[in-house]
Amino acid sequence: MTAPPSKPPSIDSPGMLHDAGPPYGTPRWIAPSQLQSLIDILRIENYRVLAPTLDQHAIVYDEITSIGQLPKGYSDSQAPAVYQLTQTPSAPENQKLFHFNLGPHSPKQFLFPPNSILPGPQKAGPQKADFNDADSNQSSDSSHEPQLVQPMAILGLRACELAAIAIQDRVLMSPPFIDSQYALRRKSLFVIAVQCTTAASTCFCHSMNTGPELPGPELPGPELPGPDANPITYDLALTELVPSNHSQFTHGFLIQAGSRRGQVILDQLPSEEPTPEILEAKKQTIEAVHKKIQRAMPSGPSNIDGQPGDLRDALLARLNHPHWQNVADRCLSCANCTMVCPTCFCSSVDEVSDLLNESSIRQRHWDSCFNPDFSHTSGAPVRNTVRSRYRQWLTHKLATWFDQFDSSGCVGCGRCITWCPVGIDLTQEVAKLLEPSDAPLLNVPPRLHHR
Amino acid sequence: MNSERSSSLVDVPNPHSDPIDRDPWHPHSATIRRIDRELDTPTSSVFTLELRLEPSPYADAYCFSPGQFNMLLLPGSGEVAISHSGPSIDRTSRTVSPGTFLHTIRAIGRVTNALEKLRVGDELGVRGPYGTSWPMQQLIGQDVLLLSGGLGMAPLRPVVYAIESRRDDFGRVDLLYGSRSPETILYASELDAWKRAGIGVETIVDHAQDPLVENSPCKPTWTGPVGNVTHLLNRRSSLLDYPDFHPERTQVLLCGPEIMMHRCAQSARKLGIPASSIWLSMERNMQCGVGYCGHCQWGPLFLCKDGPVVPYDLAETLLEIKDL
Repeated sequence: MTAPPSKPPSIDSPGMLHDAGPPYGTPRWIAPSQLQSLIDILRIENYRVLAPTLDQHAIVYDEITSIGQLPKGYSDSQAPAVYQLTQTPSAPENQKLFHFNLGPHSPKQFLFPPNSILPGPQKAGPQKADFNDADSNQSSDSSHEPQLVQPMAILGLRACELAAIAIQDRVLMSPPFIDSQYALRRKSLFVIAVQCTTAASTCFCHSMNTGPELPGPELPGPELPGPDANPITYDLALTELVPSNHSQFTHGFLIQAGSRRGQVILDQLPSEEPTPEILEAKKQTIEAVHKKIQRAMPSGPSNIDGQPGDLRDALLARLNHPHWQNVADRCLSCANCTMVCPTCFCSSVDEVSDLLNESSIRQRHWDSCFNPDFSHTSGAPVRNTVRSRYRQWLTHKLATWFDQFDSSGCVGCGRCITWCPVGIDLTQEVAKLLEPSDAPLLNVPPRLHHR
Repeated sequence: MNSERSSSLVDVPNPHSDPIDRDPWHPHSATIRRIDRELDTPTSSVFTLELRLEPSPYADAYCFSPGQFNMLLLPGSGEVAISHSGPSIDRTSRTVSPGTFLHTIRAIGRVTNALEKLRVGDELGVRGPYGTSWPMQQLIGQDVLLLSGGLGMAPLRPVVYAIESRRDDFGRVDLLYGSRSPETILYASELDAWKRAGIGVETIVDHAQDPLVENSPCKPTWTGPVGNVTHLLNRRSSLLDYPDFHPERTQVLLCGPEIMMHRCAQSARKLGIPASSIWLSMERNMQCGVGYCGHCQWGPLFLCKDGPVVPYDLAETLLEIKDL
């Protein structure tokens, strides 16, 4: 183990990520109790530590101070329209702190909060309005939001959630326009990723190429645009392992740094070199997760060479497919799928003023393309049917997202399947949409490249 | 449509190169210098604000291209997307005043009704300019057909001004302008000046008398054509009446209700005008102007940044799909 430095170096100093230095990322082995030290170090460094907790019969991210708040021994059972918290019955699995799947929360909750106050004047009406320069507004705005002042560390993010952050980065931090509030939260985010050691029936990350395996330092995350964008990887990654019948090791975590500041923190924790047995156990665990994932997003119909076709083109050619009406007959247009989706970014801005109309703020809140008045022209809704709104959501996510952001908008987390009150499963709907129908195929516009 | 075309979609001057303006949410202060009442009928209240930005690096760098829009913010009421309806031109020196521009607005919703109550000297917030512009470079040396319906005249007026200022650079230029009734013809007092500058102006109304005004005491005095603007366009098919109509070298700029633009674009194609020479200004409820909020999506496009001006070869397939 490495002795803790007498004076902890600042983990926030800019450029730390890009400093030349000794290679980092060598896996180490720590006891579960060291997670508490990790939380303590982050809190001393002024991070607000967020992690999975139990709340209202679900596992959701919230602020924690102790590993006792993690959902030890809990798991979940998920299926279309089903989320059931369960207790892991037997040892050694019931000792695990992360033996569960994704809950309804995602990092979107914190990086792009459901409600936020936009920069701008806070006095209402003409003449009284005080449109300051951008810089002077910053301080007054941040008082409304602790996230803008205090950096966040999220413990427990999964591979698909890292991919989701990378996708939202493209939406909100692609030059020339940078959403400064998002960028502020995003750049101070300390990521402690957790390797999935189980999978829900709704997971299909494998077919979206986003998991279940965490990218390693040698496997960098998705390439990001622009000089101002942080590459999305983790600062630290954990793989929780429990012994099987003949194992020589006890319950613990493989821990690996993905950034310089992650390594600086890791070096402060008492750790051991992992045995070959431990490294082999990790490999087998990940293989088991792969096998557990049963769901998959279909690819487009095979082309002449027998290669899978492009799903974007396949869906855009089928905008008049009769199956859209079939989905519409079940869909409640409730917008749950867009709320739990870690990449959906649609929002609305409301002007909120006090009763005397002397002060007002611009409040941004999540919105959804499932709301009938979301898009309108000259006062009339553009998509007045559930059919057209479901079609907008699905084709945006899986097709036109490529035109806009050069990637799919879906990471395969399966939340929209679990939290749909009527259990609509987009992977099955896509399969149905790819079936032949009477509707002639439409001409597909070539893919645009915005970026 | 090919990759060259798609890149030209986003090829607009970018005033946001200054880092301070890269967060698009920050409004910039502007003062109302003049207010012109444009239409004052019982059913239509339209006014033009002349705005001047407060001195700042943003104001110094501010320049817009015809077709682009601004977000106007009135704290306490909200924000609304309004297209540029012209630079402010000093009437004596005939020069453009920097950092000063015009917005023609119909009082129809919460924000626009509040904007209507403002007075000269009041301040509001401005973000922009956003979006794509009319293809001004491609118009040079070409015949130009401007087709406008109702308030769609506002985003086309900067094009008229640009053509007026260098008339010899363009071939034949015609404005075909449809309005609901004679009383709702926007910029009616300017039409004669445009004619004198060598721009053909033809107006048409849906009704010789506004049907929404009950028991109007006015007797209809309209002697011009009645119908919609497509009729004016379709007349071009007669070689006898329009011997100098050359579809292969005509650029068509369309702004008005979506159905009107769709019909006009189809007619223009029938007249032999290439799809890549037809341009539409699309409208949706834009809230952010930069592709963050998602409201203005139209197929693969964010109309706030890939539009509002969209070439018809891109729009054609999208217009055919109902409720897209």
